[in-house]
Amino acid sequence: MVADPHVELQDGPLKGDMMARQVTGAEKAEWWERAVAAYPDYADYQKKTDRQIPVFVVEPPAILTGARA
Amino acid sequence: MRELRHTILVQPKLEFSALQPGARASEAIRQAARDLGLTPEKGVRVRLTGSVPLADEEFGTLADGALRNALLTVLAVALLLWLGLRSGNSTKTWTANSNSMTITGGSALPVHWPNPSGRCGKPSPRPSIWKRGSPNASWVSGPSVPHCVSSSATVRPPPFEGEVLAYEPESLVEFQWGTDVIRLELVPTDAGSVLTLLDTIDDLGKAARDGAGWHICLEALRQHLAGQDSIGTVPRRWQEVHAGYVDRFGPEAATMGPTGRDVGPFDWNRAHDRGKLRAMPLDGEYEPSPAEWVRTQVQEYESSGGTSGTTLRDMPVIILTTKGARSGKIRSPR
Repeated sequence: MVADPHVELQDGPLKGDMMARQVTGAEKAEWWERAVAAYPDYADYQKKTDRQIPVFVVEPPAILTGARA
Repeated sequence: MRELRHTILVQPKLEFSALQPGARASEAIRQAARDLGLTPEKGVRVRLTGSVPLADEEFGTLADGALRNALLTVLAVALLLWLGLRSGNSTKTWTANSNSMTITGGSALPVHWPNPSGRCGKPSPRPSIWKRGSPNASWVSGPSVPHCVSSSATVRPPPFEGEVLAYEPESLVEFQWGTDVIRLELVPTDAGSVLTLLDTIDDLGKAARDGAGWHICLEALRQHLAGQDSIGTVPRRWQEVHAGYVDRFGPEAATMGPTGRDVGPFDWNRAHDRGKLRAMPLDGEYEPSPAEWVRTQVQEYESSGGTSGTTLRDMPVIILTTKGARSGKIRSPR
């Protein structure tokens, strides 16, 4: 996703093209906390490895957010 | 004569960082057609259609409108300054303290057209600003007057009410601008004057949009007064500035208007209803997950159209499809 951030997200019957963005620093900490709250196993995964598990935020392309008004 | 039509399906590579993601691809297609001699002179017409060129056209229209509106607003501010100074040809120095900038010079053009009929049509060839019975534009407090804002053909805001609320020659003008109240004050200093622009809004959701808009207007005004009239990069500059206003005001102040990347909540369902989320489907060879339980759930999820296999441990599941950087294969982990 770093090399090609274009992803397709399906949420139930709805599909859409989205862009993935790797987050770092305080923003990553914020999202990591949410991820662990939703799925506590993530915290265990992190304990079992030395590498930092990357976190990506998936967003609609900016051009589409511009179209919502 | 019989007309032959051929349809060629093209999967363009889009640039999501651009306002018109398919513009370069469309131009490449047109250039290829020209190179192949597929021109009207030879009896061949090549037309592009589909979601990508249509979306590009739509956003191109928005860009045109944004540029025109920005220009009109710049001119409006220039007029306000001129009316305050009554010295269109003189050179004076201003500091817009809201943006810490210095503006030099002074000239103006009118921009808004009062329309007593209350209907917006073709603007009068002799525009005036809140003209009230005088051939010369003048600022006086009084009852509201409907105004029309020139805009692009597809994005035309409704007429709104304008009313002068306060006016002091050469120092103050305050007026209702739709639902906003805009106040411009000039205070003389040793170096010239300080211009304070205050826009009081009643809808927080447009604060970042309008804040960025005024910012650009003042920057462009400075350019204009310095004899640098190019504001051709307004949309890009607006996006740059807008991000700062979103950071400062928060996402709740950016729920209206075109937005940059870091914006407020995105209405997924609404975007779908409007068919906006299918700009560039991934394509390539599909590679199922090596984990059987993942493969099984993805298959159930997708084969049911997203109505079955949608939970795991009582939590909702989404399917994220990506393209492998090295293999180019399409994968769908959960």
